Formats: sequence, C-alpha cells, structure tokens
Amino acid sequence: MSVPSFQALSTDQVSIEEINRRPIKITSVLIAHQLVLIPLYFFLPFWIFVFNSTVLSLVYLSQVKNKFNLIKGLKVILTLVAVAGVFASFHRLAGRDAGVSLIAIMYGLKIIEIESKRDVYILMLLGFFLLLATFLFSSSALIAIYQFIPVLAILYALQSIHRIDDGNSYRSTGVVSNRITFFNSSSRYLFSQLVKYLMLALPIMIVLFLFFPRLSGPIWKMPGNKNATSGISETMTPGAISSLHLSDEIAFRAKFYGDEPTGSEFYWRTLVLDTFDGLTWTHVNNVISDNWAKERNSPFQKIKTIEKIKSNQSTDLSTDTNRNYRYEIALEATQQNWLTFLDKPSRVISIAKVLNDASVSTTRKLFARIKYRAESQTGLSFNKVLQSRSLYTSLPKGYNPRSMSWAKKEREKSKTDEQFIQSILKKIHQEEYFYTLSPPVMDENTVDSFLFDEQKGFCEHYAGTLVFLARAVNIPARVVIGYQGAEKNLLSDYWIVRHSNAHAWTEIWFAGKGWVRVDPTAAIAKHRIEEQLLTDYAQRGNLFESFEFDSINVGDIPFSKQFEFWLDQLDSGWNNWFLEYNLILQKQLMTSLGLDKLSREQIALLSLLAIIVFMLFINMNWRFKKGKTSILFIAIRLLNKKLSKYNIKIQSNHGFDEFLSHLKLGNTHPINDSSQVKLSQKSIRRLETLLQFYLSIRYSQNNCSIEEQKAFYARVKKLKLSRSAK
Amino acid sequence: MQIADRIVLDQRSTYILPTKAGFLLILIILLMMIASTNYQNNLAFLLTFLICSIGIVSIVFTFKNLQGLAFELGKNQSVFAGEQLNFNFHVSSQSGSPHLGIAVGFDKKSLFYLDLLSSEGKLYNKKTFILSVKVEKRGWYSAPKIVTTSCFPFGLLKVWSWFKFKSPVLIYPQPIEPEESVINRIANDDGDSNNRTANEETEYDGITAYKIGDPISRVDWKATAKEQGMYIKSFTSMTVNESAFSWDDFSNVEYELRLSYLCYLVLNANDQKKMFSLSLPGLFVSKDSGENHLIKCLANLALFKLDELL
Repeated sequence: MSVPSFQALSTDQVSIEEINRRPIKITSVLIAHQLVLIPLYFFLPFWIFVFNSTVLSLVYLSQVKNKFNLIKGLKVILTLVAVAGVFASFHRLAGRDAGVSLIAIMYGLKIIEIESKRDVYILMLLGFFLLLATFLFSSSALIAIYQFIPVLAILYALQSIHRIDDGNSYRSTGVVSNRITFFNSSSRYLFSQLVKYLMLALPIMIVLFLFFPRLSGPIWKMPGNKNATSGISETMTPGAISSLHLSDEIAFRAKFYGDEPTGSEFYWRTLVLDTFDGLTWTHVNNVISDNWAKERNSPFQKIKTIEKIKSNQSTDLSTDTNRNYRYEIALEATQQNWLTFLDKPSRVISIAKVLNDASVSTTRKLFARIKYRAESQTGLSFNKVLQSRSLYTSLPKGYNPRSMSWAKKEREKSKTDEQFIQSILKKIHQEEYFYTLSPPVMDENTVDSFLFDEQKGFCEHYAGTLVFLARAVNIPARVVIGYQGAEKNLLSDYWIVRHSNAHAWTEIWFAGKGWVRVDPTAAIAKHRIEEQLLTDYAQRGNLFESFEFDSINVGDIPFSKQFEFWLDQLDSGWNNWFLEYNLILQKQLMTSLGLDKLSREQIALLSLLAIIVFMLFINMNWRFKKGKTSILFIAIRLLNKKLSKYNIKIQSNHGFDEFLSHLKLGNTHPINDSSQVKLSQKSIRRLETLLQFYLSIRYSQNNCSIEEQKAFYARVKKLKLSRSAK
Repeated sequence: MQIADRIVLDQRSTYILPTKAGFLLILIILLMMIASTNYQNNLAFLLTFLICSIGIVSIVFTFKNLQGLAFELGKNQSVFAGEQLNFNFHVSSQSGSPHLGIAVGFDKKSLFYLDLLSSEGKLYNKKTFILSVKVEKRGWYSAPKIVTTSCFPFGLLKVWSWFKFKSPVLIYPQPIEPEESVINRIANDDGDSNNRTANEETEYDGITAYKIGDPISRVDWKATAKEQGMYIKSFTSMTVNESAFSWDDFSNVEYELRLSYLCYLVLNANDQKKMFSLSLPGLFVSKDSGENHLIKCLANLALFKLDELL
C-alpha cells in the first residue's frame, strides 16, 4: 500500500501574455524581406538599393544587435526623403516605374516598426504583392524560379513566429538571447514541411492557372512609360541625338513556315513617319486601309487580306524576287500600338487595324508580349494609286534652304525620279559620308548641316535627309521605322531580332510602281563605317553591300554563343509554352476537354470541387500513413480479447502507463473502484513487460516502425495469462 | 464535444476559421488578381494562384495540427477547498508527427501554449499542461470544458476544439482552526487533549517532507526552493496522544464549518503522528494513523452528505 506523494509538476507551457511579451524574432523576417526585394533592385534606380540596405543595417544593428535605439521620428524623415527621391528620379509618383519604386521603398522602410506579430503579418503578406511587382518588369524564367525562394522564406518566417519552443531563453527580462535557430534539426524539419506544403500547393496552382476564369484586358489603363524601353520610338529627331546606345534586348522573335527570307529581305516594318516639322518626324496619317476596311465586315474570315497578291508585278529597286513568306512573330511588350511585319504584310491578324501606309496598329498598347501570324510578300509594290499625295510631299517652309536648292538642281539633271534618287545614293556612296553612332548635334537646319557640313550620322540622318530631298522636288516620300536584319538561333528554327537592329529607311513613291523601299544607309561605303559597328551589326546581314552574311555551322560557333542560343531557346520555349497562355488558349483547352459548354460559374465550381477532392486526398493520404500503426491496434484488440476473460479491459481513456501502475498497485486508489484483478502474479509480470515493451516502441526513435509493431503483435500472440491461485 | 479522460481529436468536433491575418491574405490575393488581370501577366497569375494554393493547403495543415492530438487527464492531487488546483493533463501526439503551437485554456482568452517538438528537433512523447483554477467547494470537482486551439503553421487560420475531462477531482473541505468557545466540552479525554495539543503546537521543529494533506500555508517555501521537492515547517507538540474526532464535537456550528473544523483537527493529528478516529453520522473510521488513514478520513469528510449539504 502506498499513497502517491506530491510531485512538483513540470510544464513547458507558456502563457499567452508571456508570448506577447516576447520580443519578435526578427532575423528570419528580415531575411525574407530582403529576398523579396532583391529581384526588384535590377529594375529600379540604384539608389533605392542603397537606401533600403541602409535601413536594413540600421534595423539590424538596433533590433538584433541592440547597439542603439532608433529615434522615433526616423521613419517619417526617411519616408519624406524617399518620396522626394522617387520624385527626383521619375518627375512623378504614378506610373509603373515610379509606383513600384515608391512601393519598394515603403516596403523597405516597413521593417523599422516591427513591434508585434501583426506587423510581421503585414510585412510578410505584403511581400507576396511585391513579388508580383517584379513580374511587371521581367518575365524571365530565371526570375520566376527565383521567386520560389522568397515565397519559402516568407512562409518560414510566418511559421517561425508561431513556434513556442524556439530554443531562446526569455526568462531574464533584460537580455534577449537571439540565437539564430536556422538549420538546427527542428528548423530543418519545419523547412522540409514547407517544401511539402509547396509541393502540394503546386497541383492546385496548375488547376487554378488552367481553369480559373479570367477577365480580359486591362481593368484600368496604365500611363505608358516611354523611357522604360529602348528600341524604336514613335518620333524621330535626327539632329538631337548625340549618342545612340545599342541595346541587346530582344525586340521579337520570328519563325518562318516554309521559305525563309535571305539577306536584304530582312526589313521589318513597324511604322511610318510622314510629317516633318523641321526638326522632328512624326506619324500623322491614320487612314485605314480600304481593303482591310472592306473585309473587316465579313464575320467568318479571321485573317484579312489587305492587298490582293498579284504575281510578277514588281520591278523593284531593291529586290527582284517576289517571294511569299508565312511567319509567326512573338513581339515583346513595346508600350506602343504598333505591330511589326516583314516588309509589308499581305495578311494580318484580325485584332489589328491596318492603315493605308501598310503599318498595323492595335487598339490597345502592348503591355505584354504578343504573338501573331502573318504573311508578307517582299518587294511587293503597294498603293499604285497614291492617296493623300500632299501629305507625303509637304515640307515646313524656310528650313534647310541649301538642300532645297541642291535637290532642285539635281532633279533638273536627272531624267526620271528614279534617277534622281539614284544620284543621291551615289553621292552618299562616293563622297565622304560616315556612319557613326555618336554624331555631332546639329542645329536648326539639320538636313543642311548633315548633308553639307558634318556628313556623319546614323540611319535616321540618312533616311530623314533622303525623304527631305525627295519631297523638295515633289516626289512623295516617307520615313519607315522598323528593324533590319535578324540572327538565326542556330540551335533552333527561329530568328532573333534585337533592339539594336532598330533601323530607319525610306519609301519613295514612283508613278506606276507605287511605294518602293530605298535604304540610303546601305549606300554608305563600307570603309566609312566605324570598325566596331561592323561587328556589332554582324547580324544585319548585307546591309552594307560588301559585308556578307556567312552561313555558319553550329560546330563553328563559339561555345559562348552556343550557350547564348541555348539560353534564348529556353526563353523562347518558356514564352511559347507558358507566357502565351491566355483567354483564347484557355478556351481552346476547355474545348478540347469538352468543357466549353460550361459557364464561367460552373467552371469555377468545378475547379473548386477538384481542389476539395485533392485536399481530401491529402488528408486521406495522411490517414493512410497513420494506418501504419494499425498493426498495433490489431495487437491491442487481441490483447483486450485475452484480458476480457479476467474482466480486465485496457480502457481507451486510460494511458497504458496508468493502466500499468494500476495493475501494479492492485487498484488501491481509495476512490477508484474498478474491477478486481484476478490474475496471477506471474501473469501480471508478463503483462507488465509486454506493456512496457509497448510503451518503449510507441515513443521510440523510429516512431513505431512496422518491425516494432510486428514484434509487439507476436508478443501479444504468445502471451499466456492465468488466474491467480487465490 | 468529447467528454472522456483520454481524448483524441478528430475532424468531427474541430472548427476552423480565418484569422485577421488570413483575411489580410485574402485581400492581398484579390489585389494580386486585379494586378495580374490588368497587366495580363501570366507569371503574375501564376504567383497569385500559388499564394492562393498555399492558403488552401494551409487549411489542411492547420487542421492536421490539432487532429491526432491526444489529451489525457493527469493524476490530479486532491486539494483543500479555497486553494488553487493545478489541474494538469498530458498532451501527446497520436499521429506520430510533431504538433506545434498548441494552446489550451478554459476560455479563448487565457491560453497556454507549447510545442511537441523541441528546438533541437526531438519529438516529445508527452507534455503536461497545467491550468490553475481556484476551487471553492468540497466534493467532486469537474474541470470546466477546455478549448484547444492552434494557428500553426502560418497563422492564417485558427482551428479549435472543445473537450471535457470526465473524471472529477476530489476536493477536501477547507481546514479551519476551531475556536475554543465552539467546542462542546464532552467528557472526552481525547477531545480535550486534542484541543490542548492544538494550542500547544508552537514549537518549530525544522522541516519535514511534504505529505498529502499538509496545509499549504505551512509549506516552507525557502526550503522548497533550495532543494528538490516540497517541505513544510513542522511543529512538534509535547504530548503524544490518541484522539477521537466526532461530528458531535461542534453541535452549535453550521454543518460545513463543522467539516472544516474536523478537517483541521484530522490534519493536525496526523502532523503530530497521533492515532485518531473519526465519527460522522452513519459513518465511523476507526482509530489508526498514517497517510492512508488520513486520506480515508479526508475523503469521507469531502464526500459527507454531499447532496444534502451543498
């Protein structure tokens, strides 16, 4: 007989008040916070990075290292500084770049005031939105993959603030030991759990991505951002630019079906500049193509024919072939309305509006990449009957008098308009005209000073001058902006056109021939082109007559280039398979799955159902795993069956250890009057060892492995009980 | 609500709702959705759906953090009415996986938290929760229903469940020292001597180990703090005698107070290692000593005419 004596109870429990008193463990929060911001720094002004890093080090030193306390007004001061900084950088606070900069700075500053769990939640959950902001700048696969890291870091930070036993001692009120608990084994366990959550989230994400009903189009229009992208612009002011930077960014990719163009056929037309005010060339004409306007009313025809293809009509200046090309272009976001085609398109997609100068515009600005198919016939003459002749021959009065008189004199010497144009090209070729990307800045009479004084410039100078000279003698002429040349991805079958391929040339209207492409830049003698430009412009093919575009074998190209091609192929595949997914493709997928008859609501409901089923599956899976203990339960059932002969039951509401102690004590607790044990001492001892074995495996390191369970079952089976002699 | 002494939480009685942070996440997902739609950006869509999916998956995992937890009533020591009962019970993982950030409490405001995973990554078999509650009445004390809650892993959702332990804890009457005036002077030597000893016990005699039934007021906290276990200040009396305590000793006293007096006397006698007997109407505990005898007496006092008197 013994009476349980008082034992001081020990507990690891922590009251809610104490938890609220604990300092927030800021380290994992700060890490997640920075990981969110890192990709944004590539697209924002450098000073934002410096600013945020300064804030971070201040917070780290004061909150984590306890070196000093931050003054109270600091946040207000820094906020004002930041807003002023953003305004100084962008001259406004709205728009994508300025807006995201502002958000990034505000987010960077938010860490100053982490005092409660609430602040951590706001900071971490806003982080998800910041991650999205990065995608407004880049759709690169690498960034997309990277974004999983901050997502994990945010989840880890959220998880770690919910841990009670985090290895830190909070007992002493003064000193906070902020032992970093990264990658000790419990952190590793939690991290592996996070990866598990993420893996389970991925299928749901894919279902939502594929089937979640989407709204089309922008909900509100964002102000266009002109200084954001390099490449072609919608105006041209040749004299004002003193230095042109070639950007290697990709403008678009093109894939040909059937024949591929060669050499001089790579003129990608984007827009036409028809009006000159003495300094700047701009686009004014917005007259829609007649043919296109006629055909847009036929509802079933998705592809519009804008110019009836007639064979053997052209005797072109620049080319004598007249081949038809079918191709697909994947145009990167331009923030403009213009679509690019190989020369003049004969067929374009239905969403576009075709103007009568053969340029194609869209109703919305292109904020995202767009992919479209088209057909072109290079060298196809166009607009045999000239519309709005006065538009293409008008010049501002009083500008460039020297050029005007020179043109008039030169025209008198020539028999035809063609000969006149040829004579200008000859002048460019034979006289000291240079091609350079850093031309001198020219004053008011830009054409005069280029043609007679400086004789140095790039495509815009040459194109502008030629059109000016043509118009001076009443020949209709216009500047065309687009891209020239292309680089074939030798590992694949598509062509890459970069912003550095941006080019300006001209179109001159000749009676009986229509608009004919003339590229004055191509007339420059090769030896007057800056050495370095030749290498830069290698992909331009034979823009400069004598420079041949060699066809190279894959084996010959250097490894670095091969890698570049490979990377681009990856990127292109990423684009084709993933970034292109849109409303139309979603509809196609639905149709192919036979779901197109369903309404949006029904599809949403179906997706929801699928997700619920999936979640039940996860839960089931867990229960199934729990089933590994089922041998144990079978064994216990067997044990109970054996014990039932002696009126003993291992009650489910008693722990085994408690049962054991009762057994040992022979039920002597004064207020417990459960059944009497009639087992022999020997049997009790056997039962005791058995149950001890059970407890040992139940809480063992291996967490009750199948082998251990089987061993327990075997023991239960062997167990022999007998009644006590008394 | 489950009522038992061993409770394994399952789906049935478990509830789940988003927390404030959860609603904030929903708001942020909506914002992300609008931004993605506006820019028709597939990566933005994908990220939005990923965050959405994590939210959805966290429903399962928040739920699972409570599911498979087993709560088991601990060995609750009887205390005297008016004292704090440290109501304890154990929590263990039935599912074999670690559970973190589990809270329990008698209401949702005063909660106590713990992890079933140490910071070193060890999975605990069992941990103990103690909920202190002041018990006012003698007899069987049933702890009120207990809420267990958790918002692990991300704090976006809160899951909770109510349960109640079936077995009550026995509460002894509050020991009150009887005043001289109320005691019936029956010709009873034992009674007399008892009263005498009660007054005499003033001599401090060092400390002895705490035993059940010792009044908490006499616990030597200094000694307890210094060493393992609890000690009480012990007082020895000069006279060692036998006592017989009876319900009828205090005939003019209210019934509950009589039980309190008897409780005090019984404890006192036990302290002095005396033999004593207890007689209550319809019940007699014969003369004996030792802890079991004490517990028997105390239990009888605690349960005496429970229905009629209380």
